[in-house]
Amino acid sequence: MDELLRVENIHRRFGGLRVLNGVNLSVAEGERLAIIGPNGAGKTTLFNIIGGELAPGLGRIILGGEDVTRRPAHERVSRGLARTFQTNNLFLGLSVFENVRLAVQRRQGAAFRVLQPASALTEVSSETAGLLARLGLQERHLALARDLSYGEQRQLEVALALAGRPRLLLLDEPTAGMSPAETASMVELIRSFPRDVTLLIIEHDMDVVFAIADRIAVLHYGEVLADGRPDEVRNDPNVLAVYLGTSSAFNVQRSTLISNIQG
Amino acid sequence: MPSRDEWRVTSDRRRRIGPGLATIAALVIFPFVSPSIYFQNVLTEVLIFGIFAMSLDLLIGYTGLFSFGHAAFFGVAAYTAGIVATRFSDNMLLTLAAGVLAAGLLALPLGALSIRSVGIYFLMLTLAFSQMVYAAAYKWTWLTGGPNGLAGVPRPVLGILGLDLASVSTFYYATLTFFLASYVVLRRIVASPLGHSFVGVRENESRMRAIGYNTWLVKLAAFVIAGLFAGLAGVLFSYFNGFISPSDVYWTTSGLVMVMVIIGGAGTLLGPVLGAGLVLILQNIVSSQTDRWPLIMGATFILFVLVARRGIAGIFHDTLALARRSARV
Repeated sequence: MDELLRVENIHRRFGGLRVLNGVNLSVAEGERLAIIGPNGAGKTTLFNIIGGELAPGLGRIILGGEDVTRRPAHERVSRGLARTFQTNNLFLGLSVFENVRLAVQRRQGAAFRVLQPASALTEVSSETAGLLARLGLQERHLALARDLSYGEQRQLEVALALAGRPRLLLLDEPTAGMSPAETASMVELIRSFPRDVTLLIIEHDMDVVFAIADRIAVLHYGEVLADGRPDEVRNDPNVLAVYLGTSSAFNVQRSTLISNIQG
Repeated sequence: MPSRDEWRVTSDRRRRIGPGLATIAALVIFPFVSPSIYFQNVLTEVLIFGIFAMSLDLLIGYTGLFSFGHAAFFGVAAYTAGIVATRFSDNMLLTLAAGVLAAGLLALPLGALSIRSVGIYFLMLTLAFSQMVYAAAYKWTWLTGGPNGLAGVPRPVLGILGLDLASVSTFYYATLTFFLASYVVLRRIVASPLGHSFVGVRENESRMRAIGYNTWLVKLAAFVIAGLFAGLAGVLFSYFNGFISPSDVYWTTSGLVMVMVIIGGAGTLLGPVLGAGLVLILQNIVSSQTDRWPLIMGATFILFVLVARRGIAGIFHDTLALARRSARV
């Protein structure tokens, strides 16, 4: 399979704190890679560097064979990247429909048109309506984003990212703070994405990770501790020691997730 | 799923054709109802500053860019039109094109340099750049007349139509035409995809970048369009006043138009026009009674900021909503 994303020797520090310490990852086209690791491992920082929100101190980001390390975020989007944020990052004062339409008009290349009213662009409107239907938000299209429930806001996050028709989609804790029912429908949604969309997902809920990922990378203190198929990573002694830990709480979690996989 | 027509947009208000036509009719018959030259001149000035305030509203209200240097474009256009009219030709198309073009050409580099910074830094940069324009207007006596100002700017000649713009009511109608055209164009811009991009930047610039927008370019577009319309207002002002002084480019003029936008209600286009009306009429009335009119002006501004944050447009909106609710009960 062709390589879509290569993360090469990425370093980043904030003041005296070394957050990323030479991260290397290679993600193939169509792969679904989960990045896990304890809080503070540098997962979101890595996403911000891949997405272009942050510059790395050292290292390169190769997207689709092209070095995009110095490219701003919006240029990476036109090369097929899209992302969601760990904390909802929406247009709170705009309606659900307008939120998604902004992303759709951008992808259709209509964002700078002035001669027609936005409401006259039928292709933008119908694609927006289609996305809202797919995300189950069509009933809420007139609601302001700030009036949505937390779970609906998480769905709108995903809708904004999907509107870019990405080749590479970065999902930063898509189910964080969701109820079990909302989590299940989010997992369902993510699993329904076309197989040619490459996924990079940060997630703490191991059920979600094992339901979605074909590969897991474990980030620990800014380094990749393990990288492989879910069953390999699950049995990796380093991961067991460092990430799942030896405390009883983690053992409970570990046994449930193992039984989940086996079941 | 609702039909496409039902998708409502918070920034496109439902079209209220009736009151709009009534207002236009009232503005058209005004010179007949009130033949007083004084009031026609006051209303002409309100319309000119209405265009100026609408142009700044595009930045403050729609794009979220608090420019404190908008007088630079107004002033450069006024000086350019005045210089062309006094030295070369008082042809209207020529002076108008020269003034508006000068404002746009100035907005391009000043915008490109200012919009990299945000918030208070953006505000300070636009202030600094406009003060540089003021310094040029003050120092380049050979071109601008320096501290004495540029006097004797003639009313333009519109040869083709044989209109005499020297007459107060003809000039009023010419200004009204430019005002209505500006309003229609700006209203169309804010309803367009580009206008929605402006609002997206106001709401959440980092998210706009994350969905693929070059927000720098979006903001530059807003800045240049706003500069062009401020330039149109400046050209009309040079015709109207017949005299341009450095104080028209001074930061107090930028402050005055910002007050108009805020008192009127940012993000509504028409609100800032009402703000311009309130400020100028108050200024005319109060300054004829007392020298302390800035005190009254300041108090009015404080009152709006304290109790009517959304300005005159907000008061209108709330009153209408209240009236509808009580009509239903």
